[in-house]
Amino acid sequence: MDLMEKNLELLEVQKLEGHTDRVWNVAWNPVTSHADDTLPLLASCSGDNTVRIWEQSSLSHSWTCKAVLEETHARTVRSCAWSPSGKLLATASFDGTTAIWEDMGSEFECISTLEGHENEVKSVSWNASGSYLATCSRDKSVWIWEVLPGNEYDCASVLNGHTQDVKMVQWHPTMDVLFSCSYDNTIKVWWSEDDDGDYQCVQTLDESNNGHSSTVWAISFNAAGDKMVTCSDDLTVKIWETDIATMHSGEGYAPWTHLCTLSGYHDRTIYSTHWSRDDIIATGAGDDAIRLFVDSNHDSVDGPSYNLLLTKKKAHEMDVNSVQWSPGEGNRLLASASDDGMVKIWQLAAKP
Amino acid sequence: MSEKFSPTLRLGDLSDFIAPSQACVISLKGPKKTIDKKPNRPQVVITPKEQMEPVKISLKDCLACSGCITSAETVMLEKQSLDELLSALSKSKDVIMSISPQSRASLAVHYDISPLQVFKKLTTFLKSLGVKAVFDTSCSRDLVLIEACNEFVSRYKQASSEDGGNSQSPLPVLSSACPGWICYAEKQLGSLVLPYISSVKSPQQTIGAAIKHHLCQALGLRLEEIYHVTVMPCYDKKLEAARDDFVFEDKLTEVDSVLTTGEILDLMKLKGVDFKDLEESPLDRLLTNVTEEGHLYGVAGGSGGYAETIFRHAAKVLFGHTIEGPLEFKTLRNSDFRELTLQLEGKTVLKFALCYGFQNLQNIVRRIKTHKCDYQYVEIMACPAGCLNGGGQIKPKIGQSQKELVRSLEATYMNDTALSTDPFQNPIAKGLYDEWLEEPGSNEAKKYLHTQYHPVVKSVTAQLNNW
Amino acid sequence: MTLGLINANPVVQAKKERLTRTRDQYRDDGLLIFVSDIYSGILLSVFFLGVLYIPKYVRDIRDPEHPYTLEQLSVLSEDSITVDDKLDRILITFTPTIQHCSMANVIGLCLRAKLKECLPLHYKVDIRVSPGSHADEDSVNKQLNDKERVIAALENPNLRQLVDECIFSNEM
Repeated sequence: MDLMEKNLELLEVQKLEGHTDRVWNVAWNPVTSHADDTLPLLASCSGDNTVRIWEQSSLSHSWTCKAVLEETHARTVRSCAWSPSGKLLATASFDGTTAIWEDMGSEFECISTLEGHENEVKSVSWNASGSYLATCSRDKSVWIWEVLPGNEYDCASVLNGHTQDVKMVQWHPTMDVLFSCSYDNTIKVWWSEDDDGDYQCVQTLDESNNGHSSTVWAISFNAAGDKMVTCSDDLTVKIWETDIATMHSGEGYAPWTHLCTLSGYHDRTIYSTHWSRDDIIATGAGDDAIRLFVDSNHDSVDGPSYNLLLTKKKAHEMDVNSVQWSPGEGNRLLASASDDGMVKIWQLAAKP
Repeated sequence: MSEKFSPTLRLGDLSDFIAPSQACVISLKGPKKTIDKKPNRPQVVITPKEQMEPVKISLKDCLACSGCITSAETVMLEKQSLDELLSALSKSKDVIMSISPQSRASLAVHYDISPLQVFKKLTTFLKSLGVKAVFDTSCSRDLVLIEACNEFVSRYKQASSEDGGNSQSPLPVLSSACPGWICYAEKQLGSLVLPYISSVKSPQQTIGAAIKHHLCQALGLRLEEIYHVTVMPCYDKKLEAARDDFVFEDKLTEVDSVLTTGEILDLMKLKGVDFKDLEESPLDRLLTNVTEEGHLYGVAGGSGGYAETIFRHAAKVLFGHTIEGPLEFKTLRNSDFRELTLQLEGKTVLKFALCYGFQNLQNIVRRIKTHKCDYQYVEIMACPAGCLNGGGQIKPKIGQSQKELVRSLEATYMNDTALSTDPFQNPIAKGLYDEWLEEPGSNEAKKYLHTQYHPVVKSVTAQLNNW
Repeated sequence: MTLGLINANPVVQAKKERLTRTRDQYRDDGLLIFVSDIYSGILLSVFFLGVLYIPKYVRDIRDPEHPYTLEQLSVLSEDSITVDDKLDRILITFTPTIQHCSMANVIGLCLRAKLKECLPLHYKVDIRVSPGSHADEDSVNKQLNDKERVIAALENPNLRQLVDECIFSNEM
């Protein structure tokens, strides 16, 4: 199937209203959308200091707000992430803390608060098995927390290396390798060679290896984990690749190399990028637009060639802060969050 | 940022350190020249009438500010440098130096000689520069340990007598000898954690107090003429020496200047001395743990042996149980997080921990805050592997890893030093109590050997340029 | 910490006679903004936004360090504002009073806070120090245009209070 040859469009399914300030981030629950008998669940977090949980009705298929998680964070909730089991939601806040919420069925309860960062926590990410949590902050550090029985969280590592504000942390989708990106224009890769939890920076992707020339805002991986996309204030999107087989075989660290740079599309800061399971890269930016990119050349011997699939101008009234594909296989839903206070659900569909 | 920035806590090849997280709010760059370009419109460009003086930061500014965890090396070095020592010597001040056992171990490994030889040669070298006396901080550390044992027993009793431990000085007792940890606690943890910290001063400040509050008086020396320098494994000891709490009679300080082990090495290079060729001088016995036969002695433990000594003391005093032989440390998450337990009749009666490095420290703090800490005493050091691995120690040789260096420091540390597990038996300590401090925990001891901690409030100024 | 004034001796301009420039002289939806160095209160400049009406108190942003308004400190000028009506974009360039002025970031923060209140939300605002006017030009520009940092700073109660004192000075 060649997506480029189809006449696709991004259809707005529903606008989710409720937040009273800008929405920073959205996260799909990884479990609920897999099985057919459970309903898709989406979390969004905002400058109104709350997190909202949205649920799709099985009858009307419309989305409603199922829960509002409030009175825990004293300032903006910048980022949220579901654990792989879908049972826990971690939220990172400008108040310097990370909260862990448990889905109790009818409501969400804050079961733990992780303190330690000196100031704003910018991002939180669970590793593939759910045994580790990573957080990062304007204090320039990246922390790894180990999940212990009984809702206990131990600090397993404090990683210093970035020289500025760390914007996002993201675990690799299959291996315990951690990635962080920063206001210092770099992406750093953290890995524990002996698997003893002694994480070290094993690679820094910066301008000297075709990296970004301004703040790197987000990182996402393809499903196989051998490609990574990053987006930046330098108005570019970059694709990176690694020899995943080497890493899996335990033969040591396989470095990431620059594959290509997509520039000339967004004309303001690109805040978010997300790689779907079926290999469509979405980007959301300060120009209020959402763009989709695909590898239109993936069968060719010349290697991949990423091209613009479509542009959704004025996807929101204001900056698009987050774009996230739903984890489901079939129906391609995209959620977006914006400074305009809205969360939107989009569907990628063929034009009639 | 300088590579040596807060070096005690910053270890080049270890991931675990407390790094300053923000730029200093005061610009050290000084004013730049104004551009001589002609303004297009007169109302836009303003030329200041006078160039400003470059802004200077004092050590006190750093201690009072919460803009960063620790302060700039440039600031510390300005006040506490080799130049200051040389200048004091040239002014014919009575310079007294106190050497830490960790620094001696570092030099011993570097020159491949014994710590005792290091101490004797160092005495020769320093006296050749005009230093009047060279002492040993493992001597003052025994005073610290005695006070800490006494403090622990009294806090333990207080906590177990008042139901639930609602006392003002709750358990666990957290050790206080590491200035990096104290600095972090005051700036980041504040009143939630400070009450747990032992009020006993560090060995550095204790030897300062012994010299300036007792020895000088006993020997009839003029305080103004004394210049007291310590040699430490740690840059943050410089910050400790500069604390307001250790200033008396307006301007006198217990420790006038702190040099790191590495700076002593620099001093020897500066003077063109071949250390190994130096004669071995007799040691100054007044405040030095040396026996009649000329052997060094002291407690085991590269970071001062606080947990171990207090554990043994508490077992004996609280439970009548004398522990013979070495203690069994149980390694927890890593070698920098170990615990000691005493089981009597199937019940755990004492539970102590050693906790080194920033990440382990976080977990102790986390448990204290959530009231899930079941330790009664925690020996906390900011550096991974503790004080032997301090940022002021001599760097590894080419080809040597930090871990290898730490291993050889640990092996060398107690070489040719007789193990003394009981500081209460130290004759110098006994003498100081007899002549000066009366008894452990007395008012005199509280006055001279104990201190206080103060939460640092974030100033608006500190936040202005840090957002 | 004892911190001396960053710019102890700013040049103070005579306060512009505002009455001579009333809205009547411009289009009805026009706007005059008077901005001055936050420290000295010196007027940075007076400028006109063709398509906007911003309440009149904008011009009285006070310098954080001195009892003058940015108007009196000449930190802004009329053509330090560029408006792209088509794209709803605004570029503001200001000139800190001295090259190493560590308050440039705070002046910029005040401008951001003020404009956020006054401008229709969909305007995209970029704030820069004028080229060559500041020792750390790139870093100041980068910080002032990182919306996450700006928002977090304005959530900090201490900074918010300082900014509010600067931008509401004439109402106090």
